[in-house]
Amino acid sequence: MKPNAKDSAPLSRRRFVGLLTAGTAAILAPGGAVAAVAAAGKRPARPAASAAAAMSLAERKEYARQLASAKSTVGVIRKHKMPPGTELASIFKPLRPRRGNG
Amino acid sequence: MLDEAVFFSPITQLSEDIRARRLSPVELTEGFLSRIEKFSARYNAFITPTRDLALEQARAAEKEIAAGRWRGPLHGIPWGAKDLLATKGIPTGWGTKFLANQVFDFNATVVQRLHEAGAVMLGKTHCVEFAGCLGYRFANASVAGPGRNPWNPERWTGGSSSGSGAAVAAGLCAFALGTETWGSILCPSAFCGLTGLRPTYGLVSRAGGMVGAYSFDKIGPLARSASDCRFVLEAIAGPDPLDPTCADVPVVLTRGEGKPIGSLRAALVSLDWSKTGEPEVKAAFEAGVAALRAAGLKLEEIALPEYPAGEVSGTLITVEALAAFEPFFADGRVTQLVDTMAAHQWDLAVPITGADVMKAMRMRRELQELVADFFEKWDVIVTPNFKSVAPPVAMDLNAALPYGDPAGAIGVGCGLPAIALPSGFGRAHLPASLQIMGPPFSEATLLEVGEAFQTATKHHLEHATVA
Repeated sequence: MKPNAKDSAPLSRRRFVGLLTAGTAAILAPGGAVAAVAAAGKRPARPAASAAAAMSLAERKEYARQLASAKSTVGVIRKHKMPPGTELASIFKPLRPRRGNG
Repeated sequence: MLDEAVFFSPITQLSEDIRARRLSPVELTEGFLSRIEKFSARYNAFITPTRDLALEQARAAEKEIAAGRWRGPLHGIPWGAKDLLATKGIPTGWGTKFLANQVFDFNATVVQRLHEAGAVMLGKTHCVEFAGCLGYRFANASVAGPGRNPWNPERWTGGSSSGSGAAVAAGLCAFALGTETWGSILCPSAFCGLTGLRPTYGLVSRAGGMVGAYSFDKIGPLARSASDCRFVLEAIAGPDPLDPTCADVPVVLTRGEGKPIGSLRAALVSLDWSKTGEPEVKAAFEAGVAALRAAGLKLEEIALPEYPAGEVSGTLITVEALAAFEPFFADGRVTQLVDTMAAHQWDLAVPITGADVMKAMRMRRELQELVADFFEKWDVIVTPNFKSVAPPVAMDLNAALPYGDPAGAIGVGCGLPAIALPSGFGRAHLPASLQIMGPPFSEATLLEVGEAFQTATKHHLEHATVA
């Protein structure tokens, strides 16, 4: 690659942050990421589903292994006993308006 | 013409020579650029060398130092940036082919801070696609194929900061920045025989770095010694209004500010080697522990707190990464990733419900409290970094590394700092490594222990033969 090549318009910090927060917003939305995309009027693309038919035997085996691993992981989390009312690892903070009139 | 040894010299030495004007930053930079041209492709180290910028920065450094304006130990020191870090006007592809032309109009905070420290950026280093946050089974999950280890190009560098590891180990730069969500600084440090530091979550700004898993991502150095890591960390750490997760704590990293090694209570966590792991790496670990004891560290064998930390960290990283990369699932570009299973991660995560995620977040807090209690009694944890040496580049990583990472699961789940230290050699003279992990913001202490270890051992001074 040519050093310092500029083949496309640079992304500004605002757009970069926007892209990232789009991802974050998706997971925070009720119903998860798919709901967020649907609410935005887009059909949630599921390339994995269409690609599933084209998986090789080795990929199908790997898919089954990873799916079993995901189910097992979730099982451990569900079985874990904790007292009700325990805190989350992240803390929500209200955001004041930037103009300072909040 | 500079002697080859210069390109494997620690920053401490290079900086002293540059400051005393025995070494020209321009000559040093030209030397590194020439080595990049000659050797980078062999190891898949640099994806985008930035010759013009590097020479411009080197000339500026030389001029300032000649005028008596020495900025600090990184002034005139050449380095490499993982290709996940935004660099103004220079492509930042996040390890993928389809973003190869992505160009930002700003620098990541860490890049900007290194520019301000007078360091000379030689270019961007290869990495695993999306830093491996959507998973990868083979080392070739990157734009140019696997990171090839300078100790033996048929072995992997480790990932996801593969190019950063290769570049430092091959003497193509004095240090590099890597990022770690889970293991991506410690792993290439271990396999390439480097000293790497994973900082506390929140010590170093991630602004301008690719987001893989927002509440896990960290940025840190891969270098030749603990002292070199200290210099880099001093330059990049500290609050940043552009990253709200940056902790508002004073950054105290100067030598002598950490707890002295003789005053520390260290938990020695020796893993189960009966079914997995290599005896040579175990022997190197035990020799390392003996060296730490000889240096004055009081170690007591103890188990890590029992907790399903791997499940908690793994679940949260999975869902955070899916959220971060959702646009690439939506537009189908995820199918262009080298690892064909990456495109299936959305479906594979279907068993994880929103309630599971929220419970994992509650468990993460419970884990933090458990670990905080643990560190009431212990100052640091000493444990192997990996139980085997770098695997062959073509090997399935599930088979090549068939063991868990209990310290890593806790470390990344709780945002703890850790330092990787070369501890000798395993099979085929490939590097072995141990790690020392501490409570949040204990970097000064980890660096003190690392320096004491490296004063005693010298493994960090050995380097690969690159010719």
